[in-house]
Amino acid sequence: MPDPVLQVEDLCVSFTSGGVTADVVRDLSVRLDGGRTLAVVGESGSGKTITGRAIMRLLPRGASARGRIVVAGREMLSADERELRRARGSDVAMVFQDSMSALSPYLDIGAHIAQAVRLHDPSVTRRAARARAVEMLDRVGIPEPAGAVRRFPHEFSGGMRQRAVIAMALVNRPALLIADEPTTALDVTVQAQILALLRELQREYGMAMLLISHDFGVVGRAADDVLVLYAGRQAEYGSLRDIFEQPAHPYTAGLRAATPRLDARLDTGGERTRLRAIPGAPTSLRDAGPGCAFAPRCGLADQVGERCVVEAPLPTVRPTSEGGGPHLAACHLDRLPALKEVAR
Amino acid sequence: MSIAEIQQAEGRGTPALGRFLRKRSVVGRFLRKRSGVAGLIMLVVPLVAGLCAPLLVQIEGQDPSTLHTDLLDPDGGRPLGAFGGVSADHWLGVVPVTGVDLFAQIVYGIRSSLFIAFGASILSIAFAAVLGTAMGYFGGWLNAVAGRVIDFMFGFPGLMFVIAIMAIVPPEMPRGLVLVLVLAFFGWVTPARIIGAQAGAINARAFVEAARATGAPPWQIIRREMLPHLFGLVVVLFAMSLPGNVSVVAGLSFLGVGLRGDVPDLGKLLSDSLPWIYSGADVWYMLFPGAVVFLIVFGATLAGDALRDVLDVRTEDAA
Amino acid sequence: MIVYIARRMVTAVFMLLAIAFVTIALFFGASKDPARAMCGKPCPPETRAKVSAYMQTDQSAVWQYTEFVKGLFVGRTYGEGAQQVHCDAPCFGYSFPNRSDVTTLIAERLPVTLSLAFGAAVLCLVVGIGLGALSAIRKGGIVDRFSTGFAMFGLSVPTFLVGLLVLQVFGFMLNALPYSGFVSFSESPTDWAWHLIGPWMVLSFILAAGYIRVTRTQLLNELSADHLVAMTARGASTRQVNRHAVRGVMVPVVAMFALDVTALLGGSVIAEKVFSLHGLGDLLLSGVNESDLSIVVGVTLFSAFLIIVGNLIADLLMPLLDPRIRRA
Repeated sequence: MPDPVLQVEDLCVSFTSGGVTADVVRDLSVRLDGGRTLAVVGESGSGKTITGRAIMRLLPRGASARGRIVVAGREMLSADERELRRARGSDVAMVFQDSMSALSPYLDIGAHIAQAVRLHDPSVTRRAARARAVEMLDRVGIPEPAGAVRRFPHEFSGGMRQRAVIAMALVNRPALLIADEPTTALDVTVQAQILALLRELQREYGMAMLLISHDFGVVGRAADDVLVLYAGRQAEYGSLRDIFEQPAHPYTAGLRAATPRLDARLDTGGERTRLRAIPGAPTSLRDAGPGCAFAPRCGLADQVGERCVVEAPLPTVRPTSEGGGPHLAACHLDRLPALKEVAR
Repeated sequence: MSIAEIQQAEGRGTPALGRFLRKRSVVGRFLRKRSGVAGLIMLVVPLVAGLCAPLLVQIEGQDPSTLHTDLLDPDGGRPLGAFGGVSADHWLGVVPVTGVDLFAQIVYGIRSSLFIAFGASILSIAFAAVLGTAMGYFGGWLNAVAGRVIDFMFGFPGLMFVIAIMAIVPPEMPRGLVLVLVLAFFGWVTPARIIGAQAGAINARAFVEAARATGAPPWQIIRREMLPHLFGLVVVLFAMSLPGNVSVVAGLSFLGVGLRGDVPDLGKLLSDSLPWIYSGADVWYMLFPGAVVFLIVFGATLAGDALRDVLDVRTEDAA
Repeated sequence: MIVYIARRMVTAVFMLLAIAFVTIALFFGASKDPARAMCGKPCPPETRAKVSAYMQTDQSAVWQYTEFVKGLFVGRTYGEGAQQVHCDAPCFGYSFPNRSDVTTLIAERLPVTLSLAFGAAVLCLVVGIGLGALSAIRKGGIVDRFSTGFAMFGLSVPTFLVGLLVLQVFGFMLNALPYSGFVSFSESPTDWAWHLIGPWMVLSFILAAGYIRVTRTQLLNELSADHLVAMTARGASTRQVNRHAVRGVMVPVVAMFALDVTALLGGSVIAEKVFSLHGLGDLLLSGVNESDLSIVVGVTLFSAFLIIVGNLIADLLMPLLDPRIRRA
């Protein structure tokens, strides 16, 4: 087995404010090989963005990470400032949700990409770096790239801007791309184009991709494997097929039921299905008790009983479909009943 | 809809002032701000002193015009005694050369300065509020024209122009009133721009749109939907314009173009004290009125700043 | 971009013309007759009419306005024959009491005011941006708390009070600084600066407050901005990121400075009075005291000219600093 591009072991991220420390991510372990896409799914506040930031060591003030993160053979949590700078943008790059605020309003698009090139290879001349920028913009499908490098972020449409951000992230051919909600701010039709572009470039460069999303529709279109986070903890992990077809955690099942599907009619044999909301509001690790964080919203907690309230479930192995990787779920129930009954 | 917006929506329909006061926590929160309370005291004490000037002077047993030449050094006219002649009879000493009671001069001076500053602030902010609201509500050509006028006003060399105008005021016109008008004329510009921008933003909000969709007449929309949201801003702008006007009034008198004649005035006292500082003969002549001007201006600024925090309005001008 | 520059310049010229019109209409149209002050006492009506005609103050405001504008470009001539006085272009009017054209009077006083304004501007930008940046970087620290208080002080205290205090403390009590007088820069740069430190301190103390606030808020916004996080994610060092953050601070600082040209000129009137300097403000006050309206109008319009030029420079600078403004 080759070394994974990204390996996360027992990652904990905690915030300290006013002398109180609270975990926002706890005991997270991930393994991601080159050429594959892992989708990290969860509601807002589930810790998915923080996880992405932790991998690049871009945590906000007051946050600290423990555990182990290895990207392309480099220990990120113990790396010093110089090593970090070398890794960021070169081994691991990031695509942000809001392309407008991710780009400096004062620099043209070419300057952004050239900066990314020259930060990692100062021997490249300004002119050569701008030429690379043109090449890269062409590669991500921006029309008239020679003119586009001279334009400013506010002169682009949202979709074009996101393409430019992708060009900027990929110009140094990173081994790992962290895409934090890359399509959330875009129109639906543009979403599909951007996802297709990311997949295509991923295949071309053979890089690994960590796709952070709250949208099961996006995940279904782009991911190989899925990690479902709930309140900063791993709820379920498995191949896309396992997660979609035989979810083993009630939360995953609930998310599935809450996502509209274009193929719904086929799936249910023509029967109309109603979208279901998961009742209640997301819990954070901060106010979670010793038990399962999802228990207050879980329709199946009654079936298990007190155990859900007093004991946090650990991820355990679940049945996998053929050809799929490991399938783990953190639920005291061994087997979920049929989908419709999950949500109350 | 956020909770704040729902609360705002519920608050609609009540008159601006009532709604403003019903934010019962406003007073409470202001009182919890130490700087705000300190500023208010610094402002209110001289204010009350100015209002009660005749009474206070009577208590002191003096008046602002009697010359006490017996208390002066016959050689040079410098007050005798420590601190510029401070005594039980003359609480803050006497003015050099004339021997007029300084305390009486100061409290009467506060009176005229604050009267002018309040007048100018009320006028300018009232005009700014009306114009700004209209700019925000009607937008279009009114906004464009008013915006042009505001830009034009920014090109005026403010203080120089005021000095120049004060220079040509005919002697038969009351200078105090002219000062109020002139200060108001230059004071409405920035507030009008801030209120206009804010009113424009409110006008674009969904609940104004909704009121318009139900066919509410313009006046009702302005009164019920927009004014309640602008009230805090107007109050804060007023509080912030006050110290500026106090210092300009004093500054003009200091330059010799403010109030004239024998009207007691803080700036004039300070201007008159200049030669006494140059010669180093009587520092107290400057310090007492200077401290009072400082108290009023600094206090009003502190109070205005605290009020802005409490009412949570943004007053940065997007220039 | 060229269209933008052209539009700004045309606007600036129009503003100047409009301000000149308002000023002239107000002062020559609606004020006491300047001829009366000149013709002395006793003043028979016919003499007064003659003086008025000679000074050209008997004409309508519109006529005087066009003459004034014309005078700016081609100069202006008063009277005829032996009594003829000529005022070379650019003519800001003629001061009969001083027997001199206003342009010359302004030119004499300008070095003082410009030295005052220039030094104060540099000092207040350095102090304001410096303190603002330090307070943003160490938010809540000692510098932050100190400069917040300092800003509050500077924003509220009247200029002349600060001036009197500086004069009292440094000039008389400590005897550390000269309390009046002006030495020209060409004569002795050190003496020049030495004599101006007091007024510089006063003016920059008043003006720095705004820059402290703006720099602090803007830098705090910038430092948490996503595009700087993104820059770090590209592998930039903290230093490179901070340097880029400064770009964002410059825009509001320049905008603010343009507006502060007005405050600088106004403040220098007061500083000149406190420190007995003979600059434009002093000229204006002397014009006021001698009821010499040519000086009053000339100085006021010249100040408006300085302010509008300052605004124009800022307008032209802004799109260079922030490309988003270029389209407007």
